[in-house]
Amino acid sequence: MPKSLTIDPAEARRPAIIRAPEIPVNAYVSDPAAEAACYSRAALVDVYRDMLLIREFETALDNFKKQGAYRGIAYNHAGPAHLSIGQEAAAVGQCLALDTGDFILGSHRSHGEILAKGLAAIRQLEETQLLEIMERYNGGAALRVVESLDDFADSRSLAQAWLIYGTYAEIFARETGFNRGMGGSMHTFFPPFGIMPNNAIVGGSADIALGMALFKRINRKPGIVIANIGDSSIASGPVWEALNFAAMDQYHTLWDAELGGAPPILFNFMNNFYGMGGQPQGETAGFGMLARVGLAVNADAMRSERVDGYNPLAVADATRRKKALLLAGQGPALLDVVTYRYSGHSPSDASSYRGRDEIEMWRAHDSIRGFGDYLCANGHADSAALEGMKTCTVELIVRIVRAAVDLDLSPRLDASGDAIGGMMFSNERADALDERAPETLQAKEDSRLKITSGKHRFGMDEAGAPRPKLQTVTYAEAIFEAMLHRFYEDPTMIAFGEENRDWGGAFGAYRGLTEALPYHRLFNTPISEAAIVGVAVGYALAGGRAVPELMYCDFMGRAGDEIFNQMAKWQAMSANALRMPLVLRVSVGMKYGAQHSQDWSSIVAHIPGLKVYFPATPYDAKGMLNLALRGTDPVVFFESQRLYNQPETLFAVGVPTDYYEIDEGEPQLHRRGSDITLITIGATLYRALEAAERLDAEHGLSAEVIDARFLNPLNYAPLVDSAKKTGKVLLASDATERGSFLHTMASNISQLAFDYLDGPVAVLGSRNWITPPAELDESFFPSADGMIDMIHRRLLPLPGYQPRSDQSAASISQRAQAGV
Amino acid sequence: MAEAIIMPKLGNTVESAIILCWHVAVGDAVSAGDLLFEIETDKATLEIESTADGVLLAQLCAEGEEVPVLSNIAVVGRAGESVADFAPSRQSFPAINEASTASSGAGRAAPVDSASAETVRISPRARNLAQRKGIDYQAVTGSGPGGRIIERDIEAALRRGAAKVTPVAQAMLDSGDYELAADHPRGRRVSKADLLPVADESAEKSTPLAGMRKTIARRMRDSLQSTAQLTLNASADARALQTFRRRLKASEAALGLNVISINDLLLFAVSRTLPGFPALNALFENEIIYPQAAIHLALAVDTDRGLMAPVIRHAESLTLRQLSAEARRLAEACRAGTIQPDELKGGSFTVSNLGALGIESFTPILNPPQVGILGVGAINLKPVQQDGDVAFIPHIGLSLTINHQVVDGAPAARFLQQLSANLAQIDLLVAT
Repeated sequence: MPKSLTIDPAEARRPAIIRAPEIPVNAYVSDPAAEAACYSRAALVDVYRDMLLIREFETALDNFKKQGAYRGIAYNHAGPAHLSIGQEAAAVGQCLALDTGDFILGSHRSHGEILAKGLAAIRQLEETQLLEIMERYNGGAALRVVESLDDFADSRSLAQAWLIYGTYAEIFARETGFNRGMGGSMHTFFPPFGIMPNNAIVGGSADIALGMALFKRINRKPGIVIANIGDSSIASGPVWEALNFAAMDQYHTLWDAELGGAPPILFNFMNNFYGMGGQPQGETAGFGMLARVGLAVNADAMRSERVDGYNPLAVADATRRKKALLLAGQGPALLDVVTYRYSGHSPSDASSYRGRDEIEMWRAHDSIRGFGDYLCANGHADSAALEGMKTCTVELIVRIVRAAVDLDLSPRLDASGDAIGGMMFSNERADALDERAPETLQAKEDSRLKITSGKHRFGMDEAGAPRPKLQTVTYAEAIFEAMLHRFYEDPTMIAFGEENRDWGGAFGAYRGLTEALPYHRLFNTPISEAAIVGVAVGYALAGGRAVPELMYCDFMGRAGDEIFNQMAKWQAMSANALRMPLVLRVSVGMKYGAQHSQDWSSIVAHIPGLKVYFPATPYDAKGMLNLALRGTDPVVFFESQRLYNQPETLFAVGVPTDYYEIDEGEPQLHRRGSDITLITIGATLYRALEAAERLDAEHGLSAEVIDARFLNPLNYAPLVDSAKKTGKVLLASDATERGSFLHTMASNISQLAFDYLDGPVAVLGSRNWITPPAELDESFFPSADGMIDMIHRRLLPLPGYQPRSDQSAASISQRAQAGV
Repeated sequence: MAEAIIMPKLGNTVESAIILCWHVAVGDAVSAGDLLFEIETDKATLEIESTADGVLLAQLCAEGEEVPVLSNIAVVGRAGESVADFAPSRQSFPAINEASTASSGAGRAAPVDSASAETVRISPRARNLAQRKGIDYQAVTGSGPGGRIIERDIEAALRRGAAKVTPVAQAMLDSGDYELAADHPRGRRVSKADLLPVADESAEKSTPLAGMRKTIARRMRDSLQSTAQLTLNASADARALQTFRRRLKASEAALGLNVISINDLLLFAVSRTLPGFPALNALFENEIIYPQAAIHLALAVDTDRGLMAPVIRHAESLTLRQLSAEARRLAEACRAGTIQPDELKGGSFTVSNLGALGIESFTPILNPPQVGILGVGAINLKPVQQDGDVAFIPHIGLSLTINHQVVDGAPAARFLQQLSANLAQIDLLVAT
């Protein structure tokens, strides 16, 4: 809470009534003369043609799914097909108002939107641009196929065929598809036309679209961003979080006015009245009309409107008006676009939730037939011309679909090798993602760096005595220095999270950044973990570097989809067309009980597509964050609250003032030994070092201590070498034992060093309990005692030793049987 | 009391054997030592004798059946005794469809720990160590968790001298360069013949050739492929060498002669001998022989980065002290990495000395286009018949490799002969 905004009790307690704006419902009135003046005749005819094309495109898929053939072309499509037959006017109408610089993001039912946006872009781009895009994208693979089909009259008709082919090929999982088949039906997209990722998670596009809109606002890029999501998605938490996040007051009260206000985002609900079968209006929601939701969000009611999505010109009109508002910084906006799908949710849909007569009633309102009648009635076309268009459309689709199902013309990716593995990470390094000068409020040397750089860099003096912590650079300050460095290098870098500004983050790692950075580069978010990560995903996909923060690791659950499905997946799902320069800082708690003290690094290490770092010393904290902040991959960066106020005590160089990076995936040896190897993740390192001291002093054993530092990627070679040397390995971390990443490490080390082992690799995690109160820490977290006990019971009985805890092999099965 | 005859364990790696044929029928009388049946392992066919006296009560396995070692094969006892207790129980898991969940307490059989009875529990690391050191770990008591034999138990056994190993084999094992063959029968005395060289682990790691090593690899291969190499071995009386070297070493430091080595004397002798053998001081390239007037002596130098051969120019015109100084300078420059490329070119003949490493003779590989390379070995005593008696006289090994394409054996032999003569009176040669 910034000091510049005062909460006045007199104001807060004053009686008043909230008055809300009115929400227009289907207010558009068709005026054929005005419409003829607004759009050319050709443009109006194109609307009809585009709708026809979308319907035929979807019909072919419907036929393949249900009958195994379309117009004599047999094909078994194994993947999903969530069709939008009936929703064509909503898609095509929207794109009448958009330019290529405007982005749309969609849902699992977005084939129509993709085609509409693509067809619009093809009309808007120069022919040379089109040719270059087709030539460059995926090495021109799709272009080669399409060129072989026909002599197209011009570049635009070639590009149209190419768009349809690229989409089909993607849906059919072909290497010639827009994303080499890695996206498929529910994730097809094509950034050069402003078609950004569609999302198979309901509502998944809401916060990602907002992140892209923030990118446009913060980096002064043209255009608006539209989240095309379904009416049922309004009930999901991340969508609500995105609505609120998009409507924050600070864009107007605190951010530089010159930036232009709120992020330009339109939440466009394609309201077909059903989820899969559940029906928000009348059944699963209470808002009656979805447009009403805008009233809950801000004083402008999000400029919400219900629009007749069966009239493409009504949709175009509304979209155009919202776009103007958004560009003027007066967003966010909400449209409740009334539409209807004749097709089922998917081919298995028996329409048990709606009557046949309802579908027939909507067919009677069919938008394509209705718009055809409109064209004829106003002299833009005659029925023969419309019939001709239908014939041409079918011919085009038949020709293209034949090529798209042909395995010779359109092969699948050879996934037997490591082709998909090669897409999981981009592994690039980028000092800055844009060339302009970074916006800051003070010179770097005048920032808090002046203070931290003047401190001792190593925690012990020449005599080996500890230095005062306040006079020595700490783990938190090492984080600060890495952040500051990249803020002054990369103008696109932004950081945000709860209490990030003013407070400097709950643990003070960002202390000093508030003074150094303008609001739009460091800001406080609502308590919306899903949107915090989702917005960062969108910001990164749009081309900026984002550093969101989760105050406690335990809050990752609130951002589960965004971390597991969004942050982790888009690089590979785009076949590397997109980058994800996103570092999610996650703080692992302590002493705060069961919901604030968990180490969940194992959970993210399980998810393909994430890099997982966990530094345990200030030197590593700065060097590893430097590494993460120069990469182009999603990194979950764990920090331990046990360490924030700790100075460097292990690396004799201390924390270098200058820039440096740690080699990715390389474990760090902290103590050399010959009898036993202790490998740790996170702050457990210090307890392992204590155990090593005691093994030496009390038992005459020489223990080697290694900090893994990285969970993924991880170079096992030094771990295996050590295991081969000592033959006895104990792994320890604060994560609870069951399913811990340590078991993956133990399994790998066992396989790589089996013949050298003197006993099974032992794993010491926290107990499979709730984290008890701080006073009972010792019973829960791994301790030096626990490590020595486990060594005694599992690896090397120590003569005369009396263990304090039960670490016997028998306890493994007893605890497993009890489920604890 | 009936007794089982078991399938013996016939080596570490033998897990099972096939019954080839029975020699005794059920009901026949047998005595311990009688041939009972024949078996075949993956390595051999063996005859198995009865270990008990009595009547063969049962054949528990049929001919052709594969039987795990240590399983019961037959029962010998008094006629009429029951054999029910000896039925082979090789199935360690319940049949797949047998319900194992209906645990009505008593009905649930206690799992049989088949390992505890016969198998010794030992870690892979301890087993490997025992194997390498020839320890019979069956007899070792484990101190690990649950009585597992771990590394320290084998080490303790080693200290106790538990292995039955001959002194020579023990010394070889202690060197770390040898280990016991994996199939050595446990408990049998270990002799030299049972040992194998330790597989070099570093051989498993691969290092792509780069830089100098790549050059050396190419040149060595080219040398052997493009020339006809013949090596002649001889040895020269080294008494004068040793005496003269002692005098030089004892000389006043100011003279700068006390650093002159045996190898320097060798180089000097070569530089003074070669001019008389122009066929050896020549280059051969593209079917053309280029005799060399000057003696540009290349000197093989061992460095961290590999073999280098810097060139002492006009060795024939250098004094012994100059030659020694130049050889030292070049060798040091090679080791320090400061050698200039030009100093590595243009040799007309090469000398390679492995004597300091105790090598007596070897086959030096030519450095084309040179046609001769002299390998120098160690100085060893050689029995020489002298005045009807045998005297042991120090000799230095000389191995000359020539390109037999252009140098014949006889002139090469004569060169060695002359060089040996010069070495035998090196002090006089220096004086000339």
